[in-house]
Amino acid sequence: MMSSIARFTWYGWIDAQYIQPDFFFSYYGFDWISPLPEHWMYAVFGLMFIAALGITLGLFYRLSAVSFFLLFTYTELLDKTNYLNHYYFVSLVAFLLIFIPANLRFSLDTRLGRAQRVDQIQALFPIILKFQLCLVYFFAGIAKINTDWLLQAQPLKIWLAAHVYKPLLGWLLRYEWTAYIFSWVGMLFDTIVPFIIWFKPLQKFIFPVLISFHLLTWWLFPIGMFPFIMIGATLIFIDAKWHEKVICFFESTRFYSSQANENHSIGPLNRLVKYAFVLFFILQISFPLRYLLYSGDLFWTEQGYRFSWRVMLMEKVGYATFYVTEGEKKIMVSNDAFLTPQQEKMMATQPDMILQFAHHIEEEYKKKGLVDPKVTADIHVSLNGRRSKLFIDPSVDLTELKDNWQHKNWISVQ
Amino acid sequence: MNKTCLTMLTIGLLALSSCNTDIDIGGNFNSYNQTALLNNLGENIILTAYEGLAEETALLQSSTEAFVTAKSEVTLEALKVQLKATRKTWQYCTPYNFGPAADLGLVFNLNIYPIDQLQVETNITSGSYDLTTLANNDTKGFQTLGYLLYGKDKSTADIIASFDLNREKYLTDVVALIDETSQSVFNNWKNSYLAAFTSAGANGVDAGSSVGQLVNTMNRDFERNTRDGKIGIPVGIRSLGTPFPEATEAFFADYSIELLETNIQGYEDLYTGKTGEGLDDFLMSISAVTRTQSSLDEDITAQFSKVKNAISLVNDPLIDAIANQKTQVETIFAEMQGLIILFKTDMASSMGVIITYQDSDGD
Repeated sequence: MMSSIARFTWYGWIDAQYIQPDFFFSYYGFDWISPLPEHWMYAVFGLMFIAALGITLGLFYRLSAVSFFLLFTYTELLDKTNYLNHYYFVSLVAFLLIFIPANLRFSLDTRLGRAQRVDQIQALFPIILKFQLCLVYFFAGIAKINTDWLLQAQPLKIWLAAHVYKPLLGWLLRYEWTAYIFSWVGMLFDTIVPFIIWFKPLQKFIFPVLISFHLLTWWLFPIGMFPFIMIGATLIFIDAKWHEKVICFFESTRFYSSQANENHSIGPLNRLVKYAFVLFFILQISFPLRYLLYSGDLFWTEQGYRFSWRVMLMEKVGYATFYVTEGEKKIMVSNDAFLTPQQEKMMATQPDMILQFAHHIEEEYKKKGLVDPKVTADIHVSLNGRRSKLFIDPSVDLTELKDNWQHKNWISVQ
Repeated sequence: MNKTCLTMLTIGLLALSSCNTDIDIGGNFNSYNQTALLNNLGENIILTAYEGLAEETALLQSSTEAFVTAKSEVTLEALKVQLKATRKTWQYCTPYNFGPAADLGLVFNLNIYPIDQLQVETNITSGSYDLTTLANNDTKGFQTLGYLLYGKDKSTADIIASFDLNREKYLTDVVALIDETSQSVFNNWKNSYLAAFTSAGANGVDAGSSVGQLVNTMNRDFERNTRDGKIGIPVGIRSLGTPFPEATEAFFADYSIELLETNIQGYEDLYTGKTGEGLDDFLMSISAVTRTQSSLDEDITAQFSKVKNAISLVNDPLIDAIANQKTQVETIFAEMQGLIILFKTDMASSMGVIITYQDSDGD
């Protein structure tokens, strides 16, 4: 995570995502979260780095875990433009780590005597993390079971075609069957891995596949740290003996001399914590399935799309033009006067963001002296290689609509 | 694992073969040779456009000298003719605001409008100014030349009489900056940038690739400078429907429509590649990637005709057209909007061109 934070800062994304924008697309129910002034955002990331370091070294572990979870989740909640499934994953794992005593074996807390060293913890803790990881793969897998992905090999066809000029393996991507193989293997891999990875005898076959799979996606797609986070996270499935060996190797170095204590094991798990975990997982299993409650095509309406481990499923490109009218007067809005290019791009294909932006436009033009402006939008969206379609009803006054959990019937393509 | 895997794979392949008879599974769906495309666009379209511009700005320079040396109706008229010729060649260069053109600020030195007339006069009176500073962004370029050479409702005699030493110097400086920048951009393209643009390393469609850059910049220019700048803003899309005459491109010289017509031709040249490979060939060649590619090319071609047809129904000066036939002018805007939708959604997505540079889930 530290390298991720450093990378984020290095690319200037703190500035681009949290300081440059004048307007933030808040999450439903989280509009009270707002960014801090410029240098304070850098302070947030600085503290986050220290907290991540604390978790890694096992120093002031619980404090670090709580702060990391809060700081990371805070930055993610600021603007849904930047929503990425793997950020959500990091948030969830950070949340779980608060309750998991991961500082009791190879850590500075035990080294410095801040905590009693323990060689065994309740099996429930690693299982929780494993289970969370399996949910990610499984939902990502079943999300791929759709006609675009399996029968048209979309959007992989478009994305692979864009990489045929790459050196080494680029030529392989010229073939249509490559896209089909990638689609099917991807779907099967994600769906099956969470079941078979538990079986130790199979792991020596699965891990090389898993690592090559993630490295391949890293090579082909701009998905940042995700492949490395997943590779790192899945190491938890490897037998504890292997981890033990690695730890022993480090312990034997002079930087960390082992304390040959007698084995401690920690007491029985708090019942409340147990129930909390059960509740957590009921939520985790049901929340990604909420899309079933909505009518309409999920890929177009995106009702129940986020927080559901849907990755790499859509090549969705939109072009949105907003109009403000009052009486006979009509203005075409310059989106770029209010939004960053990234916000503009994400907004153009996601109905809830379109609505938020329309309300923001209403506010801005009221400030400029209009009394009751109507905001309409002419939006065209292309999905997975289809020709573009008129996305929402261009006659609907968006200021009259409120975002909520109900079905959005003003989306013209359902 | 193997059993489940095999069963699912078999089911999958069965499903494939039964549902989609039109799939050519062994098909080679993107064997397009981008180098041919980049060579033609780089050499025959872009470099040729810059060469034309550099030739005309050099002539503009000499016409200006001729006028300053011997001010007369004849030399003024010759300068005006040369200014128009230069402005028309510029219209073929607007889609390519990347590389040297972006680095050297070509569009800023040539064609920012509306100009700040008061600041121009202040500069002329004081005689001391630096045209390359931000403060002088709106006091140079073609429209400033229009202001100096045509004015508004001024007789030729008045114009000639207005040229004192300071005004002559200002005219010369503005023209010199136009020529200097155009020559540098052309030379840069010819001597180094063309090689980079057409190199194998610039193949592909991602952010750093030539096609990626080209599609991104042409879309931005078409949207901001062609659709909005040339028609939208003058007709009032940003001002509650109230026309904004000063925002017409050739506000003083009154040939805005003619410039727009030429600009659309420039875009069509880029799309078709004239007699060589163009974006259309690239689109057709990756037809297997998307479902209805040939119809996309047909639609873009048809949309170009609609734009040109709408323009042909309106006559210069644009200011009068906005006053007398506003609906027709708005039709030009609407047809250009139709074209940019095809460029930015259908064309960009089927080519896989990425618009911004952050990580994504791909969702």
